[in-house]
Amino acid sequence: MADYQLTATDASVIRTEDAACIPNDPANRDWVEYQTWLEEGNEPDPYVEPETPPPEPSPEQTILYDHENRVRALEGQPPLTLGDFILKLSS
Amino acid sequence: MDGAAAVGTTTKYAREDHVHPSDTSKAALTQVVRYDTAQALTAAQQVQARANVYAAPMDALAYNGMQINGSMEVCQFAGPVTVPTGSIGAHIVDGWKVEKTGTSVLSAYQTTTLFAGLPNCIQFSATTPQPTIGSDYVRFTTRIEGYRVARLGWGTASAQPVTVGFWVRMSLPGTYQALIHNVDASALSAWMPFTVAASMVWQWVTITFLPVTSGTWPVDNTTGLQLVIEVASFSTPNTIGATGQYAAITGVVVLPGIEAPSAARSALIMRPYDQELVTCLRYFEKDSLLLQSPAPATMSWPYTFKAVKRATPTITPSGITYVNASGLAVNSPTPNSTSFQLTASAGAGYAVFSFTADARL
Repeated sequence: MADYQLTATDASVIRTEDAACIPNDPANRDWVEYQTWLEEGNEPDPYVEPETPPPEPSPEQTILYDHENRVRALEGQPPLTLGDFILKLSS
Repeated sequence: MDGAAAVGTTTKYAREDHVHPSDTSKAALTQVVRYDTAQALTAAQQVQARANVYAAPMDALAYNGMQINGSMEVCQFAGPVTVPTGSIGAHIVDGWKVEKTGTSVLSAYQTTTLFAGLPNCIQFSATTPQPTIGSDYVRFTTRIEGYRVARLGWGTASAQPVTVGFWVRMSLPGTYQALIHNVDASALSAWMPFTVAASMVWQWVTITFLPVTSGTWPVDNTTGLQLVIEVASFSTPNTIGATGQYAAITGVVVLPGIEAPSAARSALIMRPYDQELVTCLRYFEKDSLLLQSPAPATMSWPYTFKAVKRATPTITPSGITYVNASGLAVNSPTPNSTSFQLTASAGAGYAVFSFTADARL
């Protein structure tokens, strides 16, 4: 793990040690420190897209989810997770 | 007397009881402000003298001192700072650091002075002493923004002198020294010595630095100059040579020109806490927030700083507690504001956290 990690834009970087957001401002002393770190030949970690949360089911989807798992229980199949069920509905 | 005495050659004589009239158009020496010697004028005489020549009292000028937090009152940090071994600088209170090299470990902190007018000071003592200091040092330092010191004209032919005044209390009497330099120390004043006469007694020190006409001294939002008060080195007594020794300062004023307030008036000219706090917020602030999302989604919340920052600050969240949420992120910081982003995995998911916005020099 490098000392810094890139963000989605070049407007800032993240300092790994304390998760500080360091803005791209030459008057910011932390940005100056980052530039010096780069000049020493170091490379920051790449940007990682944050995980998006699964959508929350509507009341109708919750009823269908319960019904589906009851049917699966009668058929001797393992129950689905709510996330898997919503994905199955949308596919 | 305004001439040499002589017996004269004229044949005209005066009687021995003759009388010269006194010249009532001339004031006695006790009635004039002199520029060739020091005078013990009363406060009323000083006020009248200033009024007669339309000279602002020193107090008025000093109130506009270029220093930040010279009374050492504003401290947005928690508790004593441990300054570990090595080449380290650590903020003690807003605007003031202790910088050191060497093997010592210091405890630096804001404490009370126990004298009226200036209740707070900064002080350090060695928790791990360094009996032989060699080429190492310990210094109190403050960086002053270019906008604040532009009036000095340093680095130009029109440069003006700077006078620094401060209270100091040392466990070891002796000769210490102070310096002013630019951000990378490529241009600097001469080291100016000052003598601490007695151990563990507060003493008022004034130093006038001659103007520096060369080098680059920024006049923008970056570091204009750095004031260094050296309290342990091979040139000074070694205040980190044993446990129990210490160095403390307070009441710092940094003034354009060659005049400094007297010790008696030094405490009267410091800016009050409320004004100093606003100035300090230009460089650093902290806050705590609770962000709650009404639905499972990634949302952003804007945040406006209490004071516009000197530059775009570094935002550091800490102490984050998530409930049905994750991924707190900082977006789009500017000198005025920033925004926080949070991803909630369920409705009413939230995060509680603290953060600092750091635009210190």
